[in-house]
Amino acid sequence: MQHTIKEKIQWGILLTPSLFFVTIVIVIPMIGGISYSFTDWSGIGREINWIGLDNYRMLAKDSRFLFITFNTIRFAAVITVFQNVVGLVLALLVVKKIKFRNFFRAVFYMPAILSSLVVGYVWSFVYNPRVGLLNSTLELLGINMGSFDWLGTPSTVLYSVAAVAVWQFSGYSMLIYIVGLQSIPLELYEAADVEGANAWHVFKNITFPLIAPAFTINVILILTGTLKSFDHIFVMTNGGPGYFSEVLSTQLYKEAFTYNNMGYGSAISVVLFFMIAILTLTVLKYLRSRELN
Amino acid sequence: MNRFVKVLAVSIMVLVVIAQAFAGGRKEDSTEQKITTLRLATYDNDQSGVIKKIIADFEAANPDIKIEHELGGGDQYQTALRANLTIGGAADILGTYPGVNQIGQYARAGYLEDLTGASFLDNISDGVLSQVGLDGKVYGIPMAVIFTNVFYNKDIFENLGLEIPTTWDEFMAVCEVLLSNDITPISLGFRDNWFGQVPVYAFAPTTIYKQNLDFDAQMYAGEVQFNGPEWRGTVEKLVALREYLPVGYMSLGYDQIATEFNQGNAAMIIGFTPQLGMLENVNFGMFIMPTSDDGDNWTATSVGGVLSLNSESKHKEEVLRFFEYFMRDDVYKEYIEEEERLPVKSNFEFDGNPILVDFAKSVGETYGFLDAYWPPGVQDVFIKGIQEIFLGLDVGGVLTAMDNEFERRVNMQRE
Repeated sequence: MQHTIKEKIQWGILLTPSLFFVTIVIVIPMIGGISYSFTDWSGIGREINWIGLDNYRMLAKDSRFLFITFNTIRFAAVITVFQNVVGLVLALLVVKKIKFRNFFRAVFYMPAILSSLVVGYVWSFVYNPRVGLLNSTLELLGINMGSFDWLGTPSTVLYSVAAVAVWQFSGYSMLIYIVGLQSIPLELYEAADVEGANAWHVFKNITFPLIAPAFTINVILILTGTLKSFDHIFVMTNGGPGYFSEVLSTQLYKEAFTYNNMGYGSAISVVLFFMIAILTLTVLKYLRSRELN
Repeated sequence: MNRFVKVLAVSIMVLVVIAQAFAGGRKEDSTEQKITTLRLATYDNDQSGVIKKIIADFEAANPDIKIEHELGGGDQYQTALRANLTIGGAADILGTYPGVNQIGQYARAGYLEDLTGASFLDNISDGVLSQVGLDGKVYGIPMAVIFTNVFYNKDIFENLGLEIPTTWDEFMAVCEVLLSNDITPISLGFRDNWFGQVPVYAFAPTTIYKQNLDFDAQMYAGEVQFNGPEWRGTVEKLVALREYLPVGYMSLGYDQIATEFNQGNAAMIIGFTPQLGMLENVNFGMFIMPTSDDGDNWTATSVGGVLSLNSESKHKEEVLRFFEYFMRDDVYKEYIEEEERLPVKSNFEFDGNPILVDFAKSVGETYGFLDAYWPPGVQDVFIKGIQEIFLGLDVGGVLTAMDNEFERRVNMQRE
C-alpha cells in the first residue's frame, strides 16, 4: 500500500516538468487566443475592449473568408491523397529485399527533416517561368510549356505548392507504411502465392486491408498538418496571385500580426481549430470503423 | 527511500534548468559607472559602414555614452519590434516606418516619445514631418526622402533614338518601340506584395490627387470609392502596361526586377529611389513617371527610415544628444552622401550621386505613398486586387470588393 502511494508521488513529480511546459506553451496561449477572439485588441498597445461575438459576425459576412476556407480544404485534400499514395508506393518499393534498401529509405525520408521555408524557397526557383528547372526539364522531355508561370497562374498555383509539400513529406508517410507493411504475417503472402494470386489481387485483398491502421494514422496526421499549413504558401506565394493560394493560416497571420487585428485573427484561428477538429474526428470515425471490418 | 530521493532530486534539477530559461534579461547599468549604454535597433542585416562610423565618432565625442547597434535581420524586424514594444524591453532608439499604420500605431499606443519642436527637426518641411507623426505631433526623425520614379537604360534609349517621355501617350509610344525591338520595356514584378504597390503609388498622384487633393478624406467619408472614375482610370492605365512586362511577372520578386534591368533584358523599371543601390553594369538615368496628358507629372514621396525614441527608455537625455548629433549638418551630410539617399532637410547642400540629385531637382508636386493614409489591411487588399485585375478578373467586381474591404477595415479601426 505504502509502495503504491510513493510510486504515485514519484510519477507525479516526474510528470511535473512536462505538465509545466504543456500548460505554458499550449494551454495558456490557447485560452488566451480564444479570449482575444472576443475582443478588439490590435496586438500592439494596451487598449482592449470586450466585443462579444462581433469578430465572428464579421467573419460570417466576409465573402473572402469562404473562398479562403475552400482553398484550405482543397489544399489539404490534395496533399492528403497524394502524399498517402506516394508514401505507400515508396514503402512498397523499399520493403522488398533490394540492394541499398536502407540507403533509399534514408534518401526518401531526408526532405522531411529540411526546413519547410528553405524547401519552399528553393522550389520557387524550380518553378521559375523562364529559367526554372521544371520548365527546362519538361522541354527536354518534349513537353514545351513555354514560360508557364506555375506559381503565378490561378488555376495551378495551389496544386504547385501542394506538390512541394508532397515531395517533402512523402518520406514521412513512407516510414509509417513500412511499419504497417512489416507487420503483415508472411504466411498470408505464401498462401496467396500457393493459390496463384497476381500482384494486384495480393495488394487489394491482403496488403491494403491489413495496413488499414497505418492508413488511418497517415490520413489523420496529414489532414491535421495540412489544414493549418503555413510555411510553404507563405514563402512561395504569400497567398497570391490575388487570393488564389490564400489559406486560413496565412490570412490569420496577416490579420493578427500585420494588420493590427489580433482579436479578429484570433477569431479566425478559433474557427480553424474547430474546422480541423470536426473534419479530423469525422474522418477518424469513418476510418476506424473501416479498420475493424 | 533512496529511489524516492533520486526522483525528487532529478525533478528539482529539471525544474531549475527550466527556470533558467526564463531568467534571461538585461542587466541594468550599474549606477556607479559613468557610462550609459544606448541600444539602437534597426532593420539592417549588417552594419552599414556609415552608421558604424557615425556611432564611433559620436562615442569619441561623448565618452560617457556607448551605443550598441542591434541588427534586425530584415523581414523579422517588424515582428520583433512589435513583440518587444508590447512586452517591454525594446531598444532605446528604434528604427520605425512612416505612416499611420506603422509609426502612427506605435505612437497611438504610447510607445514613442513625442519629439515635436525639437531643434534637430528644424529645416524639415511639414509635409515630411506629417509622415512620421500623428495628430500634429512628431514621433521620429525622418532619415531620408524617397520618391517613385522610372529608371531607364540610357544606352538602349540612345540606340533606338528614344527621348524621355513626359506624357502618357509618349510613354506608351516608347514602350511600343522597345517591344518591337524585342526588348522588355518595363521590369516589374508582383510577387513581393509590399513592392507591387509602388508602381500604383507612382501613378495615383498624377491620375487622382492632382485633380482632387481631398480624395482620401472623401473616401473615408464614403463620398468617393475605388469603384469610381478616378481609380478605374488609374487601373486602366496600369493594365495597359501588361504586354510590356517581363514574362512571368506575377511571380517576379523584388531582387529579380533589378536583375532584369542590370542584365539589359528590360529597358526601364517603374520603381522608387531606394532601388538605385541595386542597379549596376548599366548606364542608367531617372525620370518622373509620366501619367499626365499635359506634361505636368506629380510624384509619390515617402520617408525612407525613421529613428524614434522609446517612451520607456531610461536614457532619454542621452538619446536626444545622439539625435542632435546625427542631424547636425556635417554629420547628416556624410550619412546622405554615403548612403546615396535624398535629404529631408530643405535646401540642403550635398555632393550626392548626380543622377539622383538631378532627378530630385526635377521633382515638382508630390503626394505621399497611399498606405500612409489607409487603415491597416487595405494596402494588402489593394495589391491583391491589382493582381486580380492583371489576371483578367472583372475590374468593376474587383474594385467593389476593394471598397467593401476598405469600409470593413475603416469600421474595425473605429471600434
